[in-house]
Amino acid sequence: MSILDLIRGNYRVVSVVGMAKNAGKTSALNDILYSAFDAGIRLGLTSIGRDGERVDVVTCTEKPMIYIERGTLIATAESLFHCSEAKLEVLEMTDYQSSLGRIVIARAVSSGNVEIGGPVTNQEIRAVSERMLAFGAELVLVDGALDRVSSASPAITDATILSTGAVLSRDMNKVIEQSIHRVHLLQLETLQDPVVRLLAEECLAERQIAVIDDAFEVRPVEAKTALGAGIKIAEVLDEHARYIVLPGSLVTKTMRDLLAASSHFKAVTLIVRDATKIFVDARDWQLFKRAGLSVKVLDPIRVLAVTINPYAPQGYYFDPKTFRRRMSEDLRPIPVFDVMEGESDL
Amino acid sequence: MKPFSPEVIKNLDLDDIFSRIVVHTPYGESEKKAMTPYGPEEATALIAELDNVERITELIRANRYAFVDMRGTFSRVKDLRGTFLRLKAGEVLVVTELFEVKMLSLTIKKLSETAVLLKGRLPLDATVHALPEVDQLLDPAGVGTPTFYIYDDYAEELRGVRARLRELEDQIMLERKRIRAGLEERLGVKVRPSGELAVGKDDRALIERLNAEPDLVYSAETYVNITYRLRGNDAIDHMCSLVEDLRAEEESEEFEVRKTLSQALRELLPYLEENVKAIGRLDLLAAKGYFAIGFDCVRPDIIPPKTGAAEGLASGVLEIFEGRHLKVEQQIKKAKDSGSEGGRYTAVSLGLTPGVTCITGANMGGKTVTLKMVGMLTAVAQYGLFVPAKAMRLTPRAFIYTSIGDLQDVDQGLSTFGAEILKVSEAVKLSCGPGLILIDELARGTNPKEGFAISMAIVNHLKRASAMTLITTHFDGLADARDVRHLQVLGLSFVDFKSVMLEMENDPGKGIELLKRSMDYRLKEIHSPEEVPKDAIQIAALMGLDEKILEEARKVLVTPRG
Repeated sequence: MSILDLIRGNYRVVSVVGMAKNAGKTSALNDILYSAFDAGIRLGLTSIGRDGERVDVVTCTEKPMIYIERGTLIATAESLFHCSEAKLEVLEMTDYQSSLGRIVIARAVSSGNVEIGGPVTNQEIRAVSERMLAFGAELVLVDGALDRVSSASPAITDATILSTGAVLSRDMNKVIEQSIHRVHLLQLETLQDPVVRLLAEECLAERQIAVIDDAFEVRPVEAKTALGAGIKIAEVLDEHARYIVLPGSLVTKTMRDLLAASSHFKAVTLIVRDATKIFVDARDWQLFKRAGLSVKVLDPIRVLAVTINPYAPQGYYFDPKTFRRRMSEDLRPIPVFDVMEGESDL
Repeated sequence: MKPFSPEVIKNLDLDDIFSRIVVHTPYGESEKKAMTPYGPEEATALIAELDNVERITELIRANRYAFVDMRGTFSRVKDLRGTFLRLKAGEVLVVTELFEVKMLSLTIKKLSETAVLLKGRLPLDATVHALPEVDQLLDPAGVGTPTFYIYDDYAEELRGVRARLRELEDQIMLERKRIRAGLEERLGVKVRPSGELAVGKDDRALIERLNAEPDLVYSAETYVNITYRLRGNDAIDHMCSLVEDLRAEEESEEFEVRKTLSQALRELLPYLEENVKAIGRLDLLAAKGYFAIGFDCVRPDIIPPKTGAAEGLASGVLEIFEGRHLKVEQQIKKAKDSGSEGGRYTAVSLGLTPGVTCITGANMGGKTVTLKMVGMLTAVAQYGLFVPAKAMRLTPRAFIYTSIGDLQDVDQGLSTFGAEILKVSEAVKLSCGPGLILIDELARGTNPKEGFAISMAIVNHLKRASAMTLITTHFDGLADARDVRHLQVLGLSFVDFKSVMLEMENDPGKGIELLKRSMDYRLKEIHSPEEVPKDAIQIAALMGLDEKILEEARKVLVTPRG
C-alpha cells in the first residue's frame, strides 16, 4: 500500500504540505512521484508560490530540484523554466504573474530535474491544475504550504497529505500532540447553513470583521487587525449574536480577549476561510473548547494521509516503529506513512 | 489636427464615448490611445476612415459569427513588442519567447483566414496576412500544434545527440530496473522506486547480506536505520558520464538553433510588425463598428471646406437631425432598465452656420445638454466614428472651444464671472478660424444689465467671425440681435397647465416627474422678435414653490420695481 494507491482514481488534484521545514514533505512528494513514474501515471506538478520570492537567475539554486520523467507536466514560473535540466515543451504561457515571472505550463520532453514555483492565488493554482488535467495529466500534485506567507491554501485541492516529523520537538509526545492538533484543525467542521455562508463570504470578500446575529443581521466590527480585534468584537456581542466572521487569521489573543471580555461567546461560532488561518496551539485550543468556543470553516481540507519523519536534522530521532504506531493509533482512520521507510502501517 | 484639450474632453464627456469603444488586444489599445481628431484639411482622410467604418459595420452585421470568433482570437493576443525590441537589438530569443512568436503567427494565420472568409472586404491596412515563413520556422514538421520546443528537426546534430541521450537513458533505466528486480528476488526486500532501501539496525542478518551485495551501496545511517542505495555498475557509471557530456552538447546545439531562429525572425520582423499593426487597426475598426451598431449611430456626411474661397470668407455646415447626447441617453435608459421611474430621451435637431446661434428657452429645457450634444457629435464625427443621430452633415471644425459649467477657479482666485471672461476672451481670439465655440449661459455671473451689454458686444464680434458659435442664454434681446440665429426650446408652450396643475394637486410630490414628462426639449427657429414664453414661474409652481410667493412673483412681473 503506497500513498499513490490512496490517491489514484479518487482524487485529481492533491497537495502535499509540511508542518515545518524538514518535516519530510519533499520525501513524501518524491515518494508519490517515483511511484507514479513506476506505475506509468502521467503527472502534473506545480507548487503554491509565495509573494516576493526571488531566484538567482545565474545559479538557479534557491529551490530544491525535483526529478521528473519524460511526459510529466509542470506549471512553473518563467525564470525557473529556463533553469530546468529536463527539456521542456511549452504548452501555454498563462497570464498569471508571480515574482519569478509568468507561469508557464510545459511538458517534459526528456527526464531531468526541474524547479517548480507556481501561481500565488487560489484561483490560479486551481486554474493551472485544471489546465494540466486538460493537457492529459491523470493526477496533479501541488507542493503546498501551511504558513502565513502563502496566500493560497491547500483547501483548493481535492485532498491533502500532511508531513510531520521529529523536527517539531525533541519530545515525541509533543510532536504527536501538535500533529494531531493540526490534523484536527484541518478537519474542522464546515459551515453548512447556506445563508450564513453567503453572508460570511461577503464579509471575507470585503475583509470585514463582522458579527452575524440570530436575525441574520450583519454587524460590522471596526478593527484594523486581527490582533486586538477580540475586545472590539466582544463589545458587539450580545445574546443575539450567533457567528463571528474573521477575514484574517484566528490567533490565541483574539480568543482569549473574547473569553475575557464577553459572556455571550457560548452561543457563538467563529468562522474562518479555512484551517490554515488558525494559529492557536493545542493547549489553548483545548482550553477554549472547554470554555464553549466553537470554530467552523468555509472551505474544508480533506486530509488523505499523514507522513512522518522520525529523524530531526538537529541529530536526534524517535524510534520509527513506536512513533508510527502511536501516530497511527491517534489518527485512525487516517493512514500514517513513514517516508523514510516507505511503508504504511495499515 | 491636435487633440482636444482636457477641458473639452471633460465638458463633452468624450471619456464616456471612449469607454464605449472596446478593444481587445494590446495593439488595438495603442491604436485607440493614438486616435486624434481629423481637422478640416484632413477631410479626405476622414471620409476614407468613415468608409472603413461603414464597411466594417456592414461586415459585422452580415458576419456576426465570424466577428465573435475574431473577438475570441483577439483576447489571446499578447504584447510581443518587448520581444521585437530584443530581436532588433540582436539578442537570441529564449524558448518561451519563441513559443509566443509561434502563437502570434498562429493568431495571424487565423485572422488571415477570417479576412479571406470576409472576401477581402476588410480595409487594406487592417488586413492580416499569414506568415507561412514564420509558421514553418517554428513548426518545422508542420504538425500545427500550438506548443513549442527546440525540435529535433532543426538540426541533424541535435537529433543525433538526442537519440543517443534517449537511448542511454532508457538503457540506464532498464539496467536499474533489472538490478532492482534481481535484488528484490534474491533478498526478499522491497526497494523503493527512488532506488533506496532502509533497514532497521536490529536486522543484523539482513544487513550482513546487504553489505555483501555488490548491487547495493551504503548511503546514509541513523541510530536505528541504515539506508542503502542501488549501486550502478561500471556500465551504468559509464553511461551516466556519457549522458552528462551529451547534455552539455545538447545545450550548445540548442543555443545554435535558437540563434539561427532568432536571426531568421529578425529578417521577418518587418512583416511581423506590419501584421501586429494590422491587428491593432482591425481591433480598433471593429470596436468602432460595434460602437456604431450598439448605439444606433449613423455615418456623418462630411462636407469638405470649400477650396479657393477668399481668405476669411466664412463657410461650412453643421447640421444634426435627431442627435442624442449619448451619456444622458444611456443614463435614462439605465434608470428605466433598473425599474425606476424613467423618462424618455428626446432627440434634438438643429443646424449651425458660421456666426452666432443662440438657444433660449425654459429652465430645465435641456439647453445645456443640447449644447454639449452638438460638441460631442462634432468631436465623435471628427474621430472617424459614427454619430448617435438620425443624420449629420459636417464640415470638420479646426477646433472646439467650450465654456460650460461652473467655471469658478478658486486656485487662481477667480469668481465665476472672472473665469468666464478669461475663457471667452480666448474664444474671441480663436474665432477667426473655422472652429466651433460653445458657450453656456453667457455672462450669467454678473448683474443683468451689464451682463447683457457685455454679451451683446461679444455676440456682435462673434457673429462676423468664421467660427460657428452656439450660445445658450436667458437674454431674449441677445438672440434677437441682427444676424443672430435664434433657436428656442419648445418647452412647456404646448402644455395645458390647468390639467397639469390639477394632476399635481392629487399628488404634490409628482412635480419634477410631471415637469420632465411635459417638457418638449426640441428646438424651433424664431425669425422675428416676439414675446418669449416665460415658463420660470410655472416651473417654480411645478417644483412646489409656495403659492403665496408665486402670487407675489406674478405681481412683480406685471409692475416691475413695485
